Amino acid sequence: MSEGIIAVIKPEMKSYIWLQTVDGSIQQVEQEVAMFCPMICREVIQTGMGSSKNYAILLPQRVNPFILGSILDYCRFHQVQGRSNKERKTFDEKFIRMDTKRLCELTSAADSLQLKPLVDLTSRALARIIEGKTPEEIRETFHLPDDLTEEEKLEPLRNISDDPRIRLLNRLYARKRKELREREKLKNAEVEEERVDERSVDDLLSFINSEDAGYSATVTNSVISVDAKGDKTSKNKKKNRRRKDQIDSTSNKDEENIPKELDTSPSTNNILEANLSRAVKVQDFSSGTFSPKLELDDGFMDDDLDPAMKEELDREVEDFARRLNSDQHFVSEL
Amino acid sequence: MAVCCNDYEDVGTAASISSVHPDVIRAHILTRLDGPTLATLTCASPEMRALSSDDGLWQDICTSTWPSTRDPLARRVIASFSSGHRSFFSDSYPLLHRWNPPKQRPRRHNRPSPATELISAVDIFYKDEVIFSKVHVTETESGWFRSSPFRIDMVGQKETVVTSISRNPAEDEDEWMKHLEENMKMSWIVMDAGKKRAVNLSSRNPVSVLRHWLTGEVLVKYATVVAGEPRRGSAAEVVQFAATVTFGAGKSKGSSGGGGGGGGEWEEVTEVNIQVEDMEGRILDGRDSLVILTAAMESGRRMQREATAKEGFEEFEEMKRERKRRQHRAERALDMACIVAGVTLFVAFWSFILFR
Repeated sequence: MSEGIIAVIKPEMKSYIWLQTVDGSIQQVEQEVAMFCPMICREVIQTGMGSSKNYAILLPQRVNPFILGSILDYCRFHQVQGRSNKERKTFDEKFIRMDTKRLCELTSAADSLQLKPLVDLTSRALARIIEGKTPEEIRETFHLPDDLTEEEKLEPLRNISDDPRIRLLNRLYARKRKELREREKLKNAEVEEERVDERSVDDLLSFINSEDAGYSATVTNSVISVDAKGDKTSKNKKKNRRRKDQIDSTSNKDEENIPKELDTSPSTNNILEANLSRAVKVQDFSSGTFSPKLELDDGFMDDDLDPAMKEELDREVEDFARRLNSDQHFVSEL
Repeated sequence: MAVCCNDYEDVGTAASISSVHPDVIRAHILTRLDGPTLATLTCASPEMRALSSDDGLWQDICTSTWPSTRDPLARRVIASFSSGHRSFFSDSYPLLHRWNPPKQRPRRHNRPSPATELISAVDIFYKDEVIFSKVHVTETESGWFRSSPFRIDMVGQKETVVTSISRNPAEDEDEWMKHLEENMKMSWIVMDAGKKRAVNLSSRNPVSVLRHWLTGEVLVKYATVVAGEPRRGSAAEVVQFAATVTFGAGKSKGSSGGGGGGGGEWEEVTEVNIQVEDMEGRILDGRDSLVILTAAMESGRRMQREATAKEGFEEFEEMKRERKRRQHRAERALDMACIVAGVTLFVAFWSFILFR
């Protein structure tokens, strides 16, 4: 008797489940494929939704139609019982080959649909992508904002990374902090000796250049930079020992840096002159502590913009780091 | 089924990993990363830093790398470190740099005060399986410790540790030694609860595997070379921390002979200890060793590269030999001078007597 009843049912008749994504589009999916997702399964069983177009199951917000297509491909392959483990692995490997953005979307979609095997697969793929990359590369791959201070960036890697660049940056940052502290001390000492100098810029220049204090001033791009004679070259020589290509870029970088940093500051030529006199006094105070590497513009910010100076120092270190990175890329591309 | 409030975008360069819910990142992705990768990720962005600084993650990494850190005492000490397990990992995972060059030595008035108590966490691995794991506390304040030679023992006098290492009888001596050298790894981490620092004193792989000439025991040695006293020319200018695992000459028979042949013979570990050796081969006493150890913990530079450990050991041996040769030469020169002086005196005396 039962055979007769079975013979009446058409063998190709499949039942479909209706799914609706957040943007309003509705599609129908074969039942076995849709039931592979625990969330859809639960919805169908508990609430009976999905049986017709009007009662389509509303999918979570993170599932957009494109991702839904990928997920359904995955379900369609895996819900078939007869496949061997090797076949499934091969399919997974091919499936996972998509760009990082899609992978992340897939992970969140799979998590909201509670499709654990797919979550595992995508997480493993993302972990493989993260491994072996430097922080800069990770930021590029995942479009992360670069919002950490230099210290926060370098502290966890202090011992673990062998990279000489990291150690260099650590040392550079420590040196900058020390200079910052000394600058603070100097500033506190000279706050009483405010004096606005009325001399013109040219007079000042000639004054500095004539004085045999070992400092020379030059005007570049309408910016006055005071360098300690000889010190700059020794600093360059020190860097030379580690990396040859830094010398050329150092002087270029300093020249570029000055206009860039000045542009962001509200100071005008008046402050330029006033602070130049202060810088001259600084050199009278203790020429030993005046670091030629921090260009004159750092002195400008001394007034009431201490956090700004800190930011500049950070930015300098960052530029340095970026330059090292680009040098590294350059060298590796050779 | 948490729903994140980020909007998805089809087109554009929107941030991608932030669209994955933090719980998912924490539970699935970060748990699959190893220590150095997680440290790198911490530096990427503020969000990643917050997620990666979770102590639970680092605790899992530490306990899987060094099972002895599961011990409650060890765990308590590590929890008091500045960034918990993460700083502990950063202190102990890389190996000590071979030799601190002279200009990095601490100035006298800056020398850190020595530790009051040393906690050693030792793990020995054979073919990536743990065969020995123990935590031991050594007090350092008593006069006995300071004056006697520095030595920390992990296995008691009459105890032995039965391992699952069995020697293939077909292998000859050299092959067996080489096999041990390639497959045994050890980590000896010393923690200072007061200063909240730790250091790994063992090179990960053995620097030498030898058979003792008298007792026939096999000694597997792991060594790290560090700077010692700042006094130039002293024997303790460069010292070596040598941790040794001794395989006893006796073997225990395997009881239930599952699988292959009848009862196999399992190797026994009779000693696991660490000592400090200077360039003349002398063992340093407790007080000096403690000073050197504290300095290494505070300011020793750590490196990831493992290949340098064996080179460092060989360099140290070479330094020892060189020193010995120099002393020998100095002694011979002195001897020669004395003999010449004596002969001259003798000849002068007799010529004076005879040719008066």
